[in-house]
This record gives sequence, structure tokens and C-alpha cells, in this order.
Amino acid sequence: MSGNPLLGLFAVWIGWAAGFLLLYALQATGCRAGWDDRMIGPISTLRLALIMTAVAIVAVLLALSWKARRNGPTSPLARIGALANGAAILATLCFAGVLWLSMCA
Amino acid sequence: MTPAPRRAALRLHRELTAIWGTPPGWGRLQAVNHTVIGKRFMLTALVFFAIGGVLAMLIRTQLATTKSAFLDAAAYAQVFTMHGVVMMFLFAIPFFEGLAMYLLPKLLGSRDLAFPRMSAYGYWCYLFGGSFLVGALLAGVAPDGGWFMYTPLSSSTYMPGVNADVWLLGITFVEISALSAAVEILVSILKLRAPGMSLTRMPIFAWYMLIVAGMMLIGFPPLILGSILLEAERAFGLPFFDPGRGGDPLLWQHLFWLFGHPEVYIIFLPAAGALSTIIPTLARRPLEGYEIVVAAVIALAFLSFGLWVHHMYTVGIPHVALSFFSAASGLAAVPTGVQIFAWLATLAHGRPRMSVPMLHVFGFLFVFVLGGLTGVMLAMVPFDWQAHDTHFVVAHLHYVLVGGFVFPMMAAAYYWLPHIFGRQSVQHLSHAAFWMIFIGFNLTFFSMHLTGLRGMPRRISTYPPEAGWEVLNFVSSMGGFIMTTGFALVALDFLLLAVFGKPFRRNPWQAGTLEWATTTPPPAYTFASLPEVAERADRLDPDTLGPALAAGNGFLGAVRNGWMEVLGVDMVTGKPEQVVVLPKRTYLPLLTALATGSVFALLLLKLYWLAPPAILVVTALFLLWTRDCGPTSDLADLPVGRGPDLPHHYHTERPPSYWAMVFTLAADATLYASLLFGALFLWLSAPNWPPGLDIPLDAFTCLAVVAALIVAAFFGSRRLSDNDRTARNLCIAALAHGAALVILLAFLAAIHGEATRHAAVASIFAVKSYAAFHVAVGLVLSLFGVWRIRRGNVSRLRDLDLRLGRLWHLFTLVTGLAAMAFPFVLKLLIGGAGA
Repeated sequence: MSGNPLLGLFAVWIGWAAGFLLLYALQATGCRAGWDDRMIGPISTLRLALIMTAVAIVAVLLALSWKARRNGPTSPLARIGALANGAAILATLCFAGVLWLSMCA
Repeated sequence: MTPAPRRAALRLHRELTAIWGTPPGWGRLQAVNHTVIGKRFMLTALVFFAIGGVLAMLIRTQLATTKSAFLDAAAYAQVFTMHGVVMMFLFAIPFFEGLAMYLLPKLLGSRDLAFPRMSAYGYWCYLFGGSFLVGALLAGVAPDGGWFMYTPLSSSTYMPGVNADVWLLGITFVEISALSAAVEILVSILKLRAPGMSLTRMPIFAWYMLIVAGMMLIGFPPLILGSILLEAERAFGLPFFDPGRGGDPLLWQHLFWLFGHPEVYIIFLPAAGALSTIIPTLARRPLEGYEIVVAAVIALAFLSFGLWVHHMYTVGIPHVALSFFSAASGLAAVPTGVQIFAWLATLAHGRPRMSVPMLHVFGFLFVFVLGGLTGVMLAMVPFDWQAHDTHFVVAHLHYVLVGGFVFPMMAAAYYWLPHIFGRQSVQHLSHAAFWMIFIGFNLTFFSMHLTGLRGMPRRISTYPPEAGWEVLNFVSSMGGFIMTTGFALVALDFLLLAVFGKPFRRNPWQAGTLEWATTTPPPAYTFASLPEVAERADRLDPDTLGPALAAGNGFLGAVRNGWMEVLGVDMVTGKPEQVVVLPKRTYLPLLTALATGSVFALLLLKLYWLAPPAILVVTALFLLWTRDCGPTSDLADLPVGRGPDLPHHYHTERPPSYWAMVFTLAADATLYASLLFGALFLWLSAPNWPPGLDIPLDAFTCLAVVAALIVAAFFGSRRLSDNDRTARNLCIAALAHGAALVILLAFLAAIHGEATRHAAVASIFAVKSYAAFHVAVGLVLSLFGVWRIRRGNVSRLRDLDLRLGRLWHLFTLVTGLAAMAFPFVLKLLIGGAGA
């Protein structure tokens, strides 16, 4: 189908954007619900939830990128897609703050 | 060319001009041609640029000395607000839209854009909306709350006059123009290219514009939504931004900057696209890293949507959330750097030709890189806390926007003006003008970094002598006047070029792109026949291609039925699929824009009861656009001069208008998602929640609307071979939409009073109003389908009108179900949070 390669070009970045919004919304909701005060061992429930979500986002993006590389031919469009996907995965560095920064202050 | 082929080429030229041309005199008001509309957009934008420049001079005169009495604080507020509004909304965006409209069909080997009437409508909306804003300035009632119109300052409590309403209504009017341009550009790039021009053979400018148009589609709806909500608060008391009644001023900031930050890249990327086209030509070498540059532009587009809170570091957002936005802001420098290094590598590996456009390219590199560096500084939260709302930010944004847009656009103007006028620059003034602008700009804005670091806030009209800012401000003002003189010289230089420039034969820069294969100035039909592209479309030979195409030796090299024909291709491969027949010139875009303007004027004058009839007039005028669209009988495939015959676009599954509807719904969905996000944001963050009043659920109303929407979607979407049965189904769909509309209006009338008491009910009011609007459009589209069937525009092979309606009905069903569920979800959330 002709529409797919074009969508495939943006798929991993769309995943990154969705993940970005999900983390931001989860952080705000968690603070509102008081999850930061509920500890699971040395770590707050909110931090744990954000770390797990961030890891899941990275895993999904890696899977999407790997699938695109596996399925796609080595056309110029596929090469542009691979570069864009790699950039999206690197951009998950944005989420690193969930490891140590204060959650609700 | 021998005499016989020359005579044939001349005959073809005359026939095509008669079909595609714009008549003189009043007939000019009918123009829909992309070359005419593109030039009008650019010229109008330059007039607004001059107005914005005059306002900037007023600002600099006021700030040149301490305790200046040149402008009082109220006039100064209008002046600096309108300077920002004019430059951002009335100059930058429309100018690149005009450039894109002018260039894209030529670069892509087509004859026009996909929806020429929409281009014309967008232009008139822009002209009227812009004149509306400038007229308000002359009348002394211009917006005065800053170009981003923050609440609560812009609420009716603190700004009771019409100033804020002028901004909200005027900008929404102009944004309609921008959204229509975005859809136009997206569909044109994806569907109307030369045969064989796959996506990866496109000239790089088309890639940039494809991505920018996508960004506009997603970036502008939050601003339109914010404007509607703020106007609803000011006009009807719905308290979305009033913290005393469960609203939150920060909601405005989120909605504004969801648009506002991508906007910076929406402005920069077209300029970068122009640079990526100009630099390789002037360096006499193809762009280095074409594929990496495309990937970088995609990355930059997405990252730009992850930066919006970068403008809100000081509002009290938790550290971890700030880190997401700070990191994304810093990361945006990487794909920007990739492009800059690609340009430098192209110059380094090529044999650069020193010319006036190249001078402006160097101006861009110097100024933009400095602006990028201060951008990275401001992306870091601790530095931003120190510099926020100071003149350092003003300096940064001007380095980025003037560096990233004005210098590249001047390079583009000097590069493409010979194409527009058919004359080359005589260059007597060009160098002096450049140096005056470059030196004047740096004097003006470099000084602002220093006043900013010394603590000078933005937007103040006077400052005390003991502040120690006067010398720097005086230098800044002198620099501003030098820069303005430079721009005046550029204007004079352009005029001299147009009148006394040297004529040339073809392709003065020895470029490899298709726009130079047209004659100059370009004819109304652009290409007498369309080229086949077998390699990347920036490595072609316009000098050879041009005469061959003019002689009709390409696709569609003959006229047929007086039709305005272009080829539609597969989005990815560029394989020709259909003959797209474009609608002809008409006064309707002008009349429709006038009617649209009257709706906004009535709202501004608070004559709300007259607005619905005016909306009906707008709807009727839009429906009139379709009178001469689409054949009234089934057609055989059409010969196109080369290769197999192709179907008329009405006979295909995915013609341009289908994609236009898909993209319009994508923008619509973004607006809806922003609305739901806004309501949930208020629940999460706004003070004075829970509401302390009952959430109006009315399960019966919701069930009745859901049932009506399901009936409407089912009967409105059925694909039948029998036209009479289809018409009957559409009538049932119209009845169902009508019933849903009546129920929703009754519900809205019942809760209006409660909606003014708390933002929770106001959110429900807004969500249900969205559903009611879509149901009303669904009703119109159902009846429109019946009308098209009765006129003979629909058959088993030609059901495009019905398929467009189907898309709308299904979208209305999905968003309507969410709207009906929304009050229950909100009540659940309020209850769950311990209401």
C-alpha cells in the first residue's frame, strides 16, 4: 500500500511524541494523586511508575525501529526512515530526569 | 526550434493562457492562479513588514533615552503588541506561504496547487484579517496585552475594551488562512508532482514544506481553540481561565505555546528549505547529505512540539517535568546543527559564487548561529530563571527570527526575483543595503543581550536614569535606524530590479531545479506540458527541458474541453494515477472571505444574534463553489500524451479532495484533543476544584444523541449502487443529525447558566458545543450529498462527494461518543479525587 512508507517514516517519532505526553501527564496525575508520598522500598510509587513507563517507551520505539529496518527495503526512503528513527530513539534521553529529579516540587 | 513547431508551441501557449490566465481590470479579483496568489501573499506580507518596521522604530525612539515622553504607556503597549502580532502573524507566516505557493507547482513540475480557490480564499481572509488588526491600531483600539495575550491580563476584568477581542477574532481569522494553506500545500506536494518524481526525488524545498505544512496542521489548532475559549470567557462568561471559578491562566499559556514554539520552527524551516535550494546552486554542487537533512528536518519538527513549556519555566512546574522540556530544547540544536554543517560542507566542497544572495546566506549563518547559541543558554532552566522576561530574551528571539527568516528570505528574494520579473538585479544598492542591515541589526540586538543581563525587563515604556541602561539603549536605537535605512534600500533595489533590471534568456543561476524551466516571468499555466522526472529534481537541466516542455513534448501537452488539467500521482512513487481537473477562476473566494469577515466583525461588535445568519451565508457560498465541480456523466479514461490513459480524478478512490478532508479532520482532531487536554488540565491543576455544584450528566440526552449519531453515521456511510436509495439514506442521516442537533442545543441552553459558574461545567459546555457544531456540518453534508445526486454528479463510479461526507459522519460519531462520555468521566475523576 502506497501510504505505508510515508507513515513509516514518522512512526517512531509519533511514538516518541505520544510517550512524551504520556510521561508528562502521568507525572502531573501522580503528583495530584499523591503517589510521590507512597514509597515502595526506597523509591516513590510515582518515580517507579515513570521509570517503568520510560523504559516501556524506549522498548516500544526500539521494537518499531527494528521492525521498520527488518521489513523495509534499502531504498532512499527507508534510509531516511532509519536515520529519523535512530534520532527518535536518541531523543528519549529527554526522559532521563525521571531517575533523580524531584517529582512534584 | 523550426518554424512549424514554434507555431504549434505559440498556439498551445495562447490556448493555455486563455484557460489558465487571469483577466485584467475587475477580473483580477477572480484570480485563483498560484503565481498570482503567491505574489499577492508576498507583496501584502511585505507591506505588513513595513508597518511592523515602523512600529519597531516607534519602540526604539521611545526607549532611546530615559524617561522618554514620546509615547505614553497605553500607546506604547499597543505599539509593541502590534509589532509582535504583525511580524509573526501578518509577515512571517504569510510570506513563506506566498513563496511556497509561487514555487511549489513549478519545483514539482505541476501547473498549479491542488485547490486554487482555497488559495484565493486564504489570501482574502489574510488580507481582511490583517487589515482588521491594522485598522484597529489606527483607531486606537489595537491589542495591547503583548503578542501572546496572557490571561488574566487579557480577561474582561483587566481589559474591558475591544482590544483583546480584536486580537482573538483577527488572529483566528488569519489562522483560517494559514490552515487552508497547510492543507493546500500538503495535498499539492503529495499528489500533484511530475510523473516519476518519487518522494526521494523531490527537490529539498518540497520536503521542508511538506513537513512545515504538517506542523501547521497540528500546531495551529491549539491556538484557535485557546482564542475561542478566551473569547467565550470574555463574551459569555465561561470561566476557563478564571482561577476564582475553577479556571487557570496557565491553561492559556499551555494552549498558546503548544502553537507558539512550533511556530518558531514553522517560520525557520521554510527559510532553511530556501537555503538548502539556493546554497547548492550558488556552490555549484548538490546538497551534501540530502537524506540526513530530510531526517534532521523530521526530527526538528517533532522535537519542536516537545518544547512548549520552555516558555513557562518560571510558572512553578516540578523539576522532573521541566527536565523533559529543557532536554528537548537542548536536543533541538542537534538537527539544526546537522543542517548548518550540511550547508557548510556544500560550500566547502563546491565552488561558491560570490553574489548578493550569498551575502545574505553569510548574514544568516552569522546571526542565526548566535541566536541558536543563546537559545541553548535559555533552554537551561537555571539560566532562564535569571534571564526570563528580560531584553536578553528579546535579543535572542530577534537573532533567531531575523537570522533564521529575514536573511534567508532576502537571499531567496534576490535569487528568485529574476524568475518573478524576468529581470536580473543591477546590484547598485544591494551590497550597501546588506551591510546596513547586517551592521544595524547587530548594533540593535547585541546591545539588548547586555541590557537584558543588566536586568532590563521586556515591555517597559520608560526606565530611570540610575538603571544604567541608557547608553546601550541609545546604541540599540541608532542601530535600529541604520537597519531600517538598509531595508528601505532593499525595497528601492527591488523596485529598480523590476523596472530597470537586465533581461535574461533562461536560468541565470544555472540551477538544476524545474522552476527555471519555465519562461520568465512564468506563464499562467506554468508548463505547456509536464515533464517526466527520472532523477533527483535538483539535478535536472532546465535549459534543455524548458523548450521541450514549451513545445508540448511532455504530459498533457494539449488542451481538452477548456479544462485546467494537472496530473495526480502516487504519493510515494510518483507514478501517474489520475487527471486532476481544477476548478476555474471565480469571484466566490472573495465573496466567501467577505462573508467570513462579516461573521468576525459581527462578533466583535457583539451583534451575536446576527452571527448565525452570516454563518449560513458563508455556508451557502461555500456550497456554491461546488456548482461547476465534477462531471455529470461517467467518463472514459483520458489520454495524457504519454503512457497509458488515466481516469478523471472523480473516478478514483483517493483524489486530492479526499486527502484534503483527511488532513482537515486531522487538524480538527488536534483541536478536540487540545480541548479534552485543557479540561483534564483544569481538573488536575486549577484551584477551586472540586466545583461545589452538580455536574450536569443528563443520561437520557446523551443516550438520545448517541443513538442519533449512530443512525446518522450508518445511513450517511452506506455505499449503494442505487442513487435513489442512497439519497433516501442521506435524508435519514440528515434527520438523525437534525435530531441530535436539537437535543444538543436544548442541553446547551439548559446548562449555560451553570457553565458561567465553574470551569468544570464550562468544559462540558465546550465539549458538547464541539459535538453540536460537527452534527450541524454533518446535516449540511448529508443534504449536500442529496443535492449532488439530484444534479447528476454522483454515480456508482463517481461517489467522491458521498465519500467525503462519510469521512465526516464517522469522525462526528467518534468525537460525539467521546463528547457524550465526557461528563461521566469528569464526574468520575472528581469523585475519585475525593470530591
